[in-house]
Amino acid sequence: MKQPNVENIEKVKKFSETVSLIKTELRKDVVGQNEIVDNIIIAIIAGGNVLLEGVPGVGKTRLVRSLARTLSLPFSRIQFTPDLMPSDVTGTNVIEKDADGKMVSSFRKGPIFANLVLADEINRATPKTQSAMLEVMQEHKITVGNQTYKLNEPFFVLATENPIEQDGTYPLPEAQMDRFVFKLIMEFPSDDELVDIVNMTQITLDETANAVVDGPTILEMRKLASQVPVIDDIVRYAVNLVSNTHRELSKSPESAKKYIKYGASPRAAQALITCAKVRALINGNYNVSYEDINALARPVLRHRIKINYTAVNEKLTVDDVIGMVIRETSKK
Amino acid sequence: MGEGFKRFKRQFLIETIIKSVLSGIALSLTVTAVLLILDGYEWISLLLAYILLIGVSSGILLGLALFFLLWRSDIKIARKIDRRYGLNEKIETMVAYRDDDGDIKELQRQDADSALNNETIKPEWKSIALTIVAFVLSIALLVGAIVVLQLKEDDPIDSPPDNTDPEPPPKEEFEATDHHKIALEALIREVEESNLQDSAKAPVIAELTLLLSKLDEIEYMEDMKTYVISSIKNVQGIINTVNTTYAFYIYAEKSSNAHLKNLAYDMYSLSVDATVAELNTICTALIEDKTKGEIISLKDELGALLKNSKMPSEDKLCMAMQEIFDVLLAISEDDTYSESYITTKLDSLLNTDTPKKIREILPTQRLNEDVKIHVVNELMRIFGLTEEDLKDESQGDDTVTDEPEGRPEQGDDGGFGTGETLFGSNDIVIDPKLEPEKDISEIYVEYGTIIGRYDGKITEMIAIGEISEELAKILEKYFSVLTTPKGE
Repeated sequence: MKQPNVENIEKVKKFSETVSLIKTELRKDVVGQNEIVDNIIIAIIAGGNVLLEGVPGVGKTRLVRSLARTLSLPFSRIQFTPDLMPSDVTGTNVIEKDADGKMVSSFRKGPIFANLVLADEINRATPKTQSAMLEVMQEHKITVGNQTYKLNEPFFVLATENPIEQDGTYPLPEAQMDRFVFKLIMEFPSDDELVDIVNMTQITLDETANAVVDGPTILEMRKLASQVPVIDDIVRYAVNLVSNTHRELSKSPESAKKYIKYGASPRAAQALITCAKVRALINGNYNVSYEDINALARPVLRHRIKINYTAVNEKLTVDDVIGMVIRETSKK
Repeated sequence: MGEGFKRFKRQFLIETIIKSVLSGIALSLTVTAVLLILDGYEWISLLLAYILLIGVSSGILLGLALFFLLWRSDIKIARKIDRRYGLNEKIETMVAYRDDDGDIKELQRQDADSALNNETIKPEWKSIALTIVAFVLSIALLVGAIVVLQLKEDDPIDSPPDNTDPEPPPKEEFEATDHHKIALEALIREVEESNLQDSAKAPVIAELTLLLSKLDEIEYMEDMKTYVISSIKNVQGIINTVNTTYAFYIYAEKSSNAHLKNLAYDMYSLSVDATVAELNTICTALIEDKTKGEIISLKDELGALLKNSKMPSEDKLCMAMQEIFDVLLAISEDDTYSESYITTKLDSLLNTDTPKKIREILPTQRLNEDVKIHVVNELMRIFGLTEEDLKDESQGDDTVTDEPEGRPEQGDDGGFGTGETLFGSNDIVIDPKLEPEKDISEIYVEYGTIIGRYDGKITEMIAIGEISEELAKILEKYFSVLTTPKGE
């Protein structure tokens, strides 16, 4: 058997420490929201994008900006409005005079050309603009005219949805929602957290987090995480969890048959395993466990399944239904 | 594979062996106990040691089989370890990827092994305890089954019924006592001193002597009864042979002639007067029959009887019947149909030797009959036989309990007398005050006229102690069942 690379082993052992450093810096600017921070870090390392739902003023922009500082990654914010055009996101060719005074066409990059992008209120943009954004998220490149522009890695999009103002919005279709690895719900901070927020922002509104890692380090971490072993039983468990959300399958549990209208796509199983590997390393483990899968089930599945009116009538949330499916899958 | 996993695997192996062996033995002992109970404890006829040896041996074999059922692959052992010690799939991942290269996989293996080394091996006490409890219960069940068996053997009443035929009850033993021998010897002497006809006396004595000689050889009651009843039948047969009235009666019963039947009955009853009176009646009826039909019928029937009964020609009864037959034959062959001839001939029957012969033969045969009855009764008394014993032996055989059916026109008052109840018994007996010069026809009297004298004599002998206590009771009972004689 090949002898292990000592340097790599050291990097693996440092994985958890590195993430701890990131969290420590982020806490300088973000109060509370520990689970949101953990999952966003997991998503970045795993190479996925996150859909964040939260009322205005809970710190979504601050979080992403602070994260960009900590990771030493360029950040941009796109405020989506109904009149936003796709070219406003991706960039466009413009005609301008060069140094010689000649009129030349040059590509003016859009705000998407950053490593960390905050797509604020994505549901306010038109479907055309949404799809342009989502295509970039999927491909990590932009084609304008004959030219293709690759985006820098790591590329991470945090899209937000305003759950309050639904008038005149264009909710993302389920097929588009599937491109986000997580959907996270940013709760209103507790009173104590709010006190801390108020006190902190009295001192300065600027982010004070320091850079502790860079883009290449994140990419290395991503590569290391992909090597974390996962046994077949756990892969099968993740698959069962996803397939059990489909009520049309005979083996699906009673909760799915009763409360779910549409089930999750196969991307959910991929997301579960990929993100579980990252989570295992973050927690200092070198293998994926059932606990990792169960902990990530809600963020991965809540935007990929649709509950029916029976669940709504019984005042059940999508997280409640996911919990039932987890319990029934674990028993089997 | 790390030392930690090997250590845990070894522990699992030991636990599996213990559980397998104990479970196997428990299972086989339980089956043994259940089979013992269900089979009605027939197995216990085998040595108990063999049963236990078979049970334990089969238990060990079962245990080996269970071991292969319970044994798990490394992956499954790893899974059990992860679950038992809460190691979050570390060990299972280690085993699954033990042959894979990779820095993280190597780290994972080291981490898993380190986790195992930090854990203290905890035996699976719950399943081991359950196995031990099952083992102990199986032993208790088997011991209980054996104890119940022992209790059942001590109390045969509660033994479970089996499907085979019940054992026959043990034979009641018989031992000839001095009482038996003395009483039998006394009976033999009585027969010797009796007036039994000589041609019958010797055979009867021989029969009783033979019985006496066999007494010591008889071991069981049922054999004794067989021998005694056989002797009774032989005695009856001997005396019935010499009592030609019996043979005459047996054959006359088959006849269709009423006159013959009545005559036979009266002779079999050994009543002289009744016989002579019947003879008179027959003659009168024959005289009144103008067609000679009755004469011819009687002649034919009597002839057939004489031929078939094979009575000895020198026998007086046979001679008397022959004389009657000759008269009837003569009348039948006479073609004159003379009424006077018929009357003369029939009257001659009444006034010749025929009635005399009858008067001679009947008392003699009466004596024979008395001896026969006495011998039968004595044998029954000495050996404690009952009428039921004789009836059981007499299925289809009239010898043992032969009694005449009774004359249709005559009431059955018992005994062999005229039917007029004098006193207890109508039997004809020899007058105890017999005087040698008296005619034989005058020596017989009705028993009822002299029973008082017998009673008195017996009472006198009992009083002076000449009769044993046992015999005295019998005699007192005998006389007490009879009514008090009139005028005696």
